[in-house]
Amino acid sequence: MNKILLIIKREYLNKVKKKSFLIMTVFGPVIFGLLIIGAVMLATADTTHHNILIADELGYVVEDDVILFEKENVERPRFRDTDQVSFEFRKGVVDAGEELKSGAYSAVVQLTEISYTDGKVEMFSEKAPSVMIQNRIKNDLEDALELYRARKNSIPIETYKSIRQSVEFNIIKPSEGDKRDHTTERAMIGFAFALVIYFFIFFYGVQVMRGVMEEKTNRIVEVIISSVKPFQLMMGKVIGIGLVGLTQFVIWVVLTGAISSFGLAAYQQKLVQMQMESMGVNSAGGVIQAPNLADLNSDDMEKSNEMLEILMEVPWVDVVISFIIFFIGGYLLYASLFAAIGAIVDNETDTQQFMLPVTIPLIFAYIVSVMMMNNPEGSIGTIFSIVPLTSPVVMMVKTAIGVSIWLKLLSIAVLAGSFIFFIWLAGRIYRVGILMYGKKPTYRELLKWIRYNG
Amino acid sequence: MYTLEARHIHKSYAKHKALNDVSIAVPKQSVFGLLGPNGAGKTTLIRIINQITGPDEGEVLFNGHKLKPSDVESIGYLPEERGLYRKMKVGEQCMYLAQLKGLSAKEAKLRLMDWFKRFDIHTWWDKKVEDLSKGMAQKVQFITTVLHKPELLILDEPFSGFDPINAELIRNEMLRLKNEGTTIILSTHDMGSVEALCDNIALINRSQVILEGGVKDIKNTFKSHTYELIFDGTSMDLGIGLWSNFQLIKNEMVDDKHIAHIQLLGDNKLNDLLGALIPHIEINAVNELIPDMDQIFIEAVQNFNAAHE
Repeated sequence: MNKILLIIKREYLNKVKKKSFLIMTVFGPVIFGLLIIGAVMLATADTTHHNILIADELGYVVEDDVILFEKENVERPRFRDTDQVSFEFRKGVVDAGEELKSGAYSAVVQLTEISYTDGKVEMFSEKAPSVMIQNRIKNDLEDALELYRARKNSIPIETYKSIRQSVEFNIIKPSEGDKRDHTTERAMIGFAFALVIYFFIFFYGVQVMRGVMEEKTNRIVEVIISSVKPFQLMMGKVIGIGLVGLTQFVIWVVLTGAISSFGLAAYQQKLVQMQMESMGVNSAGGVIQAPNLADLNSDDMEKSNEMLEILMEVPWVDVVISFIIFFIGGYLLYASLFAAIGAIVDNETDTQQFMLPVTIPLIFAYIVSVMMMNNPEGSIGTIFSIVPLTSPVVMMVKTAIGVSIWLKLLSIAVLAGSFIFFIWLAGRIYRVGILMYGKKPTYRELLKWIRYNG
Repeated sequence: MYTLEARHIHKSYAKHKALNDVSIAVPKQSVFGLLGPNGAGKTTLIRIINQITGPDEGEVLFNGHKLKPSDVESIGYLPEERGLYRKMKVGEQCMYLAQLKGLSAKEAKLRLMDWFKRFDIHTWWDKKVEDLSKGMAQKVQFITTVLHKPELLILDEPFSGFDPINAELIRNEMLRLKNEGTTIILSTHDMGSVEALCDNIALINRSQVILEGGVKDIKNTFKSHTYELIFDGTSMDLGIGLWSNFQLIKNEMVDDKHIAHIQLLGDNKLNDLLGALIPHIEINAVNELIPDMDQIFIEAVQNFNAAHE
């Protein structure tokens, strides 16, 4: 036991003291944090002001949406001017090329007769405004054209509103006190944890494999196993590298959290503003009347309340405990298989053939998890949250959705049983493989290795 | 008193019998040569002694008791296929290997300092292994093998990769360790070292021990009562002196000297030969021709293979 600790210590310190570890661990979150900040900056950085000309061949939109409101001296509900964009309107058809050349406008939107019937609108621009602005204009145009058609058909606005009502499902589970159901959202939260386990297993499993291969090709392995049992060496490596991964993971979470929250705090003001704008646009999609600021706030509030509700619904204690159990169990299971692969082969190119049967269940687990976000209660998720090679990933999604304690215990029992089995199996292959050089074995030979008594 | 005894060891791999009823006995404080052609089963036997693998049948006794897992701390093993962690520093690596053999960190450090001084490599402590030459790495490996003062030292081709000076250094270390009480099993193809170092040998061929015993005894059994004579006189004079109880094997002139190899037949002694020849030629020197280990190795293996074709 003391020797396993020595091996773990060597594996751990050897990796942690490496420059590449330091770089990955420190710069990883810095880069990640900067990416987040960068993404936010990029989204908000488009500070160029767009002057957009909306030309209207038939003139109804301009009439209804602009002139009418100007007459009554009311701010127009659509095509509102903001920091980023302001609108001008003209009846008739314009020469878009000329207008753009004059430099007064960055984009010209031409409504034609077809626009009123088929909804086809042309936008002329050398440097198109951002997708966000495009969407705003699009939504506003949709509203305006709908309004026009409603009027044309003498349908009162209220009637139209009541006709044009999208359907929204509120799934309610009577057994859970008639609350709104957020299974899909919770599945997504679970998926995030599943993804972490998936990548961790892959990344550090391959590291274990490389480490074993290194010992084999360096010819140090025979020296070591004259002092310790091959199984101790294998487990020492698996555990040592697992701890390296855990260290890196914890540092990443802390650093990424710190950096991105620090960075985002600086941009929060801008973020809130941006969110409000985009929400105003989105909600206008279904509502004819433009939402005023008060509406917008309540909408916002509702959203964040719902978010809070979802977060409250996630069984966090269960999720965290399961994460730890399935994280460790899944890693031990897969890492020992990767160790066996490392022992079988002499060089990296030969690993492909043997990695396939190990990676396929892992990738399959990922696919199942993705499917579960669409169909959270499907039986496929239940089945593969018990199957040992997929359960570490799938069970995380299942846990976030909510799962009976019996299914969970069954899954843990199966996982525990199978990781003992797979570690044993890997150990059998490992002890023979590390002393074999040259030709890579066939699967039939591997079976012999497993059965062979040493 | 034997440090190590292997009794009737059988070991088979999938289709191949690696060891077939192999028994060896290694006396305490001696150097035991484990010889044999490539693929004969030497490495398998060594791995069984090191408990890297187990025998199908038979048992291994260490100091009279059945070999047990904790015995690895009393055995030092330098495998033929040996290496070091390339990215580790020399000192760190030695400390690690020493601790795996059960030494405390403090004790390991003390002994390592001692050895590094003796081998004049104390400046290497912080060097990376990948910066060492092959010979340098071999020295480090030798140190890590003997550092825990094993009772039994198993060296598989310890001289490969060494220049003659360093090979001599290792040879002297081996003799020093032996004098301090260590028992050494030496597996090598270098018969010169066998003659210089070994007290006993076992020759393994095709999974069996085909020759075993003290080096001197084996040499005696392999000698063919052939003598080398250096004489003055003509070949004809020599021929006249020889009668049917002696066979002339070789007769040649080297640097103006007549050299003849003559084998005694029957119960004839050297004196009989000399008595027969002295009247005819003038004898300057007589030496008994004793086969070297190389010849014995080749002869034993060829005879065995011929008998088992």
